[in-house]
Amino acid sequence: MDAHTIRAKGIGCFWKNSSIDPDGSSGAIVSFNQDGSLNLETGVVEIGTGTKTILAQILAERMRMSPDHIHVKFKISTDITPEHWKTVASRGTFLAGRAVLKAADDAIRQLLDIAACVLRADPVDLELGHGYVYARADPSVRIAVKDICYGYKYPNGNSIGGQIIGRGHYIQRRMNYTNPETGEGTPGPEWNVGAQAVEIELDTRDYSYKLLKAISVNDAGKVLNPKAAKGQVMGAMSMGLSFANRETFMFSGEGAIYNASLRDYNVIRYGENPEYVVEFIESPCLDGPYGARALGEHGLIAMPAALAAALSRAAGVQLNRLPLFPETIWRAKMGEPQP
Amino acid sequence: MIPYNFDYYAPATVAEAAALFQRLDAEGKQPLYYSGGTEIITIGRINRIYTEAVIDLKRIPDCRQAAVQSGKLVLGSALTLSELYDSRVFPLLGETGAGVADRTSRNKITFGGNICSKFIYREAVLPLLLTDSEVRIAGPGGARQTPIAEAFDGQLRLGRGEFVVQTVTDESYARMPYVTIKKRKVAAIDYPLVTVAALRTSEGIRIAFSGVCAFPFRSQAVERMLNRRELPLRDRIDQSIALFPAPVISDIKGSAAYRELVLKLVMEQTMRALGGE
Repeated sequence: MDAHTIRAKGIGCFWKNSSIDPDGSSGAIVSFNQDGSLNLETGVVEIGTGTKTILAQILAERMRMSPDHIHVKFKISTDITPEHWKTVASRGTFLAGRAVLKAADDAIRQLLDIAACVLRADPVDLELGHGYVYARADPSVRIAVKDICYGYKYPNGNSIGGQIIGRGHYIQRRMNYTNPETGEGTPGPEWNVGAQAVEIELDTRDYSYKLLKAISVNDAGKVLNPKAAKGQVMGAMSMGLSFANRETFMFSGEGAIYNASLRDYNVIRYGENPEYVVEFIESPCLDGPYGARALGEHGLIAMPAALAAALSRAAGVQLNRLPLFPETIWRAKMGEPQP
Repeated sequence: MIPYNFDYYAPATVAEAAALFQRLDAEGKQPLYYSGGTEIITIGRINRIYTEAVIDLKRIPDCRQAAVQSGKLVLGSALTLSELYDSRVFPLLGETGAGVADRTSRNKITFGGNICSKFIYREAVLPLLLTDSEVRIAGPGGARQTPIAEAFDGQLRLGRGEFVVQTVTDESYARMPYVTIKKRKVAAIDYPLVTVAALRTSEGIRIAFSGVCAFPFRSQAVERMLNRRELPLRDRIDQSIALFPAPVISDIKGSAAYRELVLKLVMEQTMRALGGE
């Protein structure tokens, strides 16, 4: 660029499996309101990941209805809300999504059973969609969901059925503990991969640098919500860069933390971020809901390696230690060993 | 949360504030003058400051003044750093203050509060040192006006119960060429590795530092060395650092060696920007 400015790029790749308790399970309840709208209850805690929105989308897709008519219960009561193992490990959409699909199928079966009675048809000939249960071969033979989801009342007052409540759960298949000696085992069902790159501009006078551009391409399996997926990955990239570029605790010889408050523990703020580019490829995970793969944490993983690769190239010295403070680069350049 | 209770006073005059301090002090309330409150809140909540009474100076008109009176720029101690920056009345001061914390905090942090900060940086004092400003100080013993070079020795020397009311700066300084540069460890918002503020007057370049030593300073010896234009600039810089009043600090923001590297770059950039090669 000029006598003391170098631009460089670095790339890093990642693969990640989500290792959770082998019996970590997730449950879901789908219940109906009298107008035919649905309530969705799961134990996933909404911590900004948008998982509950995606679960509503999954339910709407299976029920062939608009997500506008699904009321997502955000509050969780640990007394009665179905258990979701933990809202961690990039497992929310996977575990709860499968549980929601099972709950939806349970509700659909109940709807078809009661509709079969009312329509005097075999349930296997019926289909659910757009707020109706109808005969697949003759959609004019139909009954509105709202007329059967709280039971059906015949003109003479005879009634059948009752409120429909669908329930579902999911547990990962054939997980086992990893062997502590060999590392062998099946900690999680799917390995997810991606590649990430960072472009920086290094000032070779004081080794300060700018983060210009960061790119992440993740295998999403199937992108269920493009904006949410992009936001998840972009946020993770920011955390990865912040971790690589500044976040650390500093200890005294006796182990006391010098920077115990956000006054001295810095994170990347708006305005310090590079331009973010997020792209996806889609190779479906057959076990995942609609083919989706884990996405939450993956955008973080290779960012430190990509940044270190870019800075190593620009500074002409191998950088193997985080965080990559300008002083750290300077010290490496001066030939100090990196512990 | 601040883990103790305290009373809040909002006096309307300088004399009332000083009298309040004297009374509350005698009652053992360990009173503190309060302006932006950012340090009382953030240090109070970790129990490193204790008080049973705060005396808010922001309602005192003198402390909120921003005026030019017979060629002198008079700035109240309770003006916020954001107000000083936005007003553009004294760009060197406004811009140096704008390096402190973040905008939201600077909307609260005051000029006087920064000068009297518990932290070692007190960057708002640098322009005062460069411009030989004077400080109007009031307390139970009355008011006094003192040159900053006498009042400030690493920190502002205040008697018990005294507080800064205003600063007084010759208006001509506000139009002189200046440079103010702050370098941080890595983040855009942080304490300085090095802050340098400098001014070009008809007699030469004046320069003041924060974050380099354990206190902000301006040094005649350093300035004399830097203005010896018969020597190459880099030699002047190297030799002037040897004249600093205290060692260059090493802390979690940076080692002394790295700080010195950054310091030299900033000094060179400053000198060149002011035509001091």
